[in-house]
Amino acid sequence: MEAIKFFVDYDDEVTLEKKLADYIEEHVSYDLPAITIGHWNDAYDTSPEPVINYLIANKAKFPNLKKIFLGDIDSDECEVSWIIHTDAAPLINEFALEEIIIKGANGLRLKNAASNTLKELTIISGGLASNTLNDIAEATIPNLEHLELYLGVDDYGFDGDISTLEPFMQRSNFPKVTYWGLKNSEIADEICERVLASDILPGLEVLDISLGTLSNRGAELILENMDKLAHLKTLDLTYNYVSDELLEKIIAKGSELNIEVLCSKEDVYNEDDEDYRYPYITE
Amino acid sequence: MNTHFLLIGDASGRRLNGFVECFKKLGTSSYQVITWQEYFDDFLVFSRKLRENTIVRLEPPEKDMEIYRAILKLGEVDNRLSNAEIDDIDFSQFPIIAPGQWYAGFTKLITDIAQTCSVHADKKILMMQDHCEALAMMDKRQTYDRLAAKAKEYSYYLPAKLEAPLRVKEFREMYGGQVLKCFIKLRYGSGGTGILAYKNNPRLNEETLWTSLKVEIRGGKKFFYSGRKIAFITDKAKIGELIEWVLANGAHIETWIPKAAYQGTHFDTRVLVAAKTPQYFITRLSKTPITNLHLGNQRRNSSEVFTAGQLAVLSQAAADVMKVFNKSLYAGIDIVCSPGYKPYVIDVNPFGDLFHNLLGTEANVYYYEIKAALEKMREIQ
Ligand SMILES: Nc1ncnc2c1ncn2[C@@H]1O[C@H](COP(=O)(O)OP(=O)(O)OP(=O)(O)O)[C@@H](O)[C@H]1O
Repeated sequence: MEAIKFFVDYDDEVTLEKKLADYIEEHVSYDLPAITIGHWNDAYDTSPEPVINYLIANKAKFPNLKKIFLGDIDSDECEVSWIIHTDAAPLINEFALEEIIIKGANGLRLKNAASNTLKELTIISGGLASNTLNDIAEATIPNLEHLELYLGVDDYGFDGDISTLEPFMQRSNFPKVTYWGLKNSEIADEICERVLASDILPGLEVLDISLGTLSNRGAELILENMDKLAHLKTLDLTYNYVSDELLEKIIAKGSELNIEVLCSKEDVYNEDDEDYRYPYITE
Repeated sequence: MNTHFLLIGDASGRRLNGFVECFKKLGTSSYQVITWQEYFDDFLVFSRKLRENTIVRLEPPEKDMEIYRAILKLGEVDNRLSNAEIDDIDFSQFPIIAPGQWYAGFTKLITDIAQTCSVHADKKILMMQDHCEALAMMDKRQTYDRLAAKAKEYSYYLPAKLEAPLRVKEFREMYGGQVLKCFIKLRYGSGGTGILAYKNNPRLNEETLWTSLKVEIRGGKKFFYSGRKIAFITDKAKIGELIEWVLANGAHIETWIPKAAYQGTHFDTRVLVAAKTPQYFITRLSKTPITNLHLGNQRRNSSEVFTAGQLAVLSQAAADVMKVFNKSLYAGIDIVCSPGYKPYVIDVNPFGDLFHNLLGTEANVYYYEIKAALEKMREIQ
């Protein structure tokens, strides 16, 4: 979807809400279906609340909005784990969004999020807190098809464990989800084990456990249970700590079953050191 | 009138040889070379070779440790290493030793040469570099201050300068309580030496460094040197040790400018300005905050990376920098573009004219420099 990115450049005095207001003043309304909110002032210290408030207060000026990317901020502008957020549920509740992507998760909430239009939810983070996860679990988003959560590590805010993720294993909570990604996690093996036994698995097209610390332990379970995955189009294990031997077996089995298996280890930094295994995005 | 060239440089240096190649291609027969090795054996060789109508070109000494020793010995600073200590230095792994004293020695060396030239002014001698400006460019603090003094008049931007204390303890007291991203730079460093890309976020208790600076203990003594790889360091003790050394050897600290990205990779751009005109742009892409060429990063043609409009902004910024260093014929100017493409000047290199990939091609920047110097010579003749 075509979008304009609004952001505050380094050293700029002007606020992001002012930039939005200037745009509206000049163009009367924002007619594109998507909008990208980039770096706002002092993102390591200040939430985008004023931006969210501006969008909500001027809802009518964004008549076609279906997609928001909140926090499209480069690591050089502000590390993903440094970005401060606030309750972003109003964006979901007030606009008829089909897709929302949020980058950064400090202080992020989605309290009482409710939308019949929302189909895709992605949160990119170095650490997703339990209360944020609970908000998502409790949200009323019955038409969600794409759920993609970067869970991250405890150093950067992931304070849950496998039990915190239980709601995401249940089909009844996400009846229409076909893309399921609980990814970028330091407990990828446990997630793997649990999702293989879950009732959300049968309806999926894409199972995405990428960017985390998946090891041979999780990969062996996948291999043993490949038949349960036969309905998948794609199994995404990109970035992992699995032996090449095991990956080859999974790929071979995948091609028998007509599953696309993604499992590049290109960006893995220190594959051999078992003590220092990190997900792809942390800081 | 016939003009001669007199070059001083490293016998084995690529720079000197590159220049000599140009003379050969241009068919300029009238040039002489003095190596630093010869110069230090007998510095009178310089005045002996100084004929009428000569353009003098200095190439900085490269990795010759005996020359490094000789320059260190010339340096007069507080707490200076004695000549005996200098003779004892084990240079086998190219440690960085006493950069402040080296700079003082180099200043003396260059000033002496300039003085000799002015003594022979009646012979019509032109130094290709203005030595005062070149020396200022070799000191990041002076470079910054000169640019800052004129920043309001010109189109370039600068990072904010932060006060540099002498010890890491003070540094942490001053800055430890705030979210900070900055570059701590060895004031007299070049080629990525002693550059620390520092981040601190007290809320996350996170302090990190990207750097190629390494420390090793040999014979009970700490040696600091530039490694080939850029490391990401999270250990606070290690971070403290590296910062301490840079501060103690003279630091310039400035805020970290977020870099624009090309296909997801950050970059900065070196602009070579000769005769007031930007001649070459080389964009250096890197997955780390330190993009210097020789540390194994990629480079790109800037026309791939920038639109014509952005290139014009970059050119203007670089040309404006040269107005601050208006006696210099050329310099290599490093510019970081922010994500909104504002041009931030982060370094000015007096010897920034060496683009290895251009050596031996027609596009070699030395041709421009030779041409510009000849024009200037005509003015004084
Ligand atoms: N303030 C800054 N913000 C962002 N990046 C910076 C900043 N200062 C330096 N850098 C990056 O760090 C690297 C080294 O910087 P700098 O040019 O100051 O070092 P140097 O040792 O003088 O290198 P050279 O001699 O090659 O110019 C460059 O890649 C540059 O892009």
